[in-house]
Amino acid sequence: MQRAWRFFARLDIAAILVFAVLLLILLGSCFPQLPSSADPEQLAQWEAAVRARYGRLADPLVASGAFRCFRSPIFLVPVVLLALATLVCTVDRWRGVWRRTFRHPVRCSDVALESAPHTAQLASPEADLASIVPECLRQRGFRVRSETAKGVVHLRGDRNRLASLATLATHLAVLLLLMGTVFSSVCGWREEVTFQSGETVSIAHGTGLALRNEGFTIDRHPDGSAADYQAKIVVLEGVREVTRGTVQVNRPLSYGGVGFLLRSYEGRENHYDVTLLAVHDPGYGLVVVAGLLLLFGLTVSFNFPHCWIHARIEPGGMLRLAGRADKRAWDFGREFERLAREVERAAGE
Amino acid sequence: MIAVAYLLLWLALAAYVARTVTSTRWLGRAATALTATAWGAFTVGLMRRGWEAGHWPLANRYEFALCFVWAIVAIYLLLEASWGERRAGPFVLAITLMVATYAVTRPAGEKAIAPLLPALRSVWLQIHVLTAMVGYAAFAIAAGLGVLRLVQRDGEPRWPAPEEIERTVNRAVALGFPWLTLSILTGAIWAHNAWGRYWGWDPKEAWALVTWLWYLLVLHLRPLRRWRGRRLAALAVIGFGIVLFTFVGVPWLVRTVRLESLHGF
Repeated sequence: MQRAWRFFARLDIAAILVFAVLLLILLGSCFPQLPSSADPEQLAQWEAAVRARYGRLADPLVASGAFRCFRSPIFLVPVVLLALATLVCTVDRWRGVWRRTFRHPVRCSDVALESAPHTAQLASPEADLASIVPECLRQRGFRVRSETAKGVVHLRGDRNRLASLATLATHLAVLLLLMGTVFSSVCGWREEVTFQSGETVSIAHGTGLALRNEGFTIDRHPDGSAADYQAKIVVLEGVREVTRGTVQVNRPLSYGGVGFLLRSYEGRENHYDVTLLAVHDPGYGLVVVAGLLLLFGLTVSFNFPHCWIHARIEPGGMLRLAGRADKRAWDFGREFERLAREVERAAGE
Repeated sequence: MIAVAYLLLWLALAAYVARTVTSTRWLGRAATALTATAWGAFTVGLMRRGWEAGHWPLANRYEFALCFVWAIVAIYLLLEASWGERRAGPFVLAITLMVATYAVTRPAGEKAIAPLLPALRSVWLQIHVLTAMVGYAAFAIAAGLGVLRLVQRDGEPRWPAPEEIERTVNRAVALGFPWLTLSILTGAIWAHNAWGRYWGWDPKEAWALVTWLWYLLVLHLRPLRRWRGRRLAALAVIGFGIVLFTFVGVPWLVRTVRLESLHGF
């Protein structure tokens, strides 16, 4: 168990799984995919068209799952393994990230001072380093804390100290995103209805809802193309009207968790047939929330990385600076050098 | 105006190349001035087009390509100003001109201003396309720098330090990735409102996800020591190849393999 845990927590394993999923999507995108919500007649038509197009290759392609790539175990297994790796990685890093975020000792050992990736030293017996260093750090957006022990002043400056949590938010968002898509595909449904003005049609799936078409209007450009079109719809629950409104492209009407979208229209002799799509997708909200969380996590992780600087000022005016930063702080080395120069300049004035 | 901007970009590229070969300082300044003027001309051209069409110039592949060029040049000029480094210019402008040439060689029918289709009238779509443009532009810069890193021989003083280039490649990828994520998210919201589903494995959606996964891979491989240096640069260049395929190649794939796609561009 422990070995499996360590295996899935490895960064290179996650990278291999991402690459495998990527390759499978790439392959799947090269073949027409079996429609998910077509009726048996449409499916038969679709299959006949695919067989006609691929000829002798059709059978081996069907057998290999090329036409249902995104629903086949070949695709779903790496996706599930990737989700598992993300979960293991999140749990594995939780404690370390939490400690880095909330436990910030002001004092720093000699070893930590010396082994930091960015270090600087300065001797200035005359200058008031205990006020110069915090001032320089604050000007660069660092939150400074200090402690004094045996005449030695210890300082610690942190910037974006909560940023490490963003990595966890990103990983959590990926898991929520996958949960949302599973929720959508398991609990969601879609139904198409076609009717003309004055007609009423029922929606299945145990909703007890029906739709009445109260008219369709279309505006056209001078060249005859559609500028805008809309249908007036009444939603009924049994015989009781529960809501009414205008349905346009990009502007669906919603009632009771069901959305009604204007799918298409077809001009007949003296009327228009309107096709609406009734959609119930309980996973959509979770997907949007997960998407926003992902975006927040990525933005914070990459643009506001945690950086921290330890300073030790000894009684003789000896200053030692040590800087560390998250690996995404691309420019921290240069900033540290600039900070050291600023302190040196201020101490010399 | 777009033709003038395109010509100015070629002149800027020539100036950047001449500056790299001769190390003449005024040529570098001239190259930057030409690039900035080209950007200004693109801005005026796009604004005029948007004014005449009565909508944002993001309604077809030609307009998107022009906005894509505009965004690459804008981000490059900002990078040049903050980095104080002009030696990446020939590489970034070469990539920019590749996209610009694709735009200006579109057939007349595609360049003609057309009324906006009802399906394209959505604020989510506008955000989706705008954010894709910024993300793609950042990846174009990363690819330009990636090519520079690949052609550079160690210790050659003509080019910026390798670590400096790699750091900038990372920054460009890290800048573009959240924008690409936002683009996919807003595209999903738009698709939910327009088609009743936020994801449908449409070839364009599949390739957008391939692009996203590729850059996710780049960002995850970066901490691994053996994936730094030239390998990182190569990943950034391949990534932009995927971006270009998502933009230009997917419509070709849809036509060639006779796939179904709801995406116009």
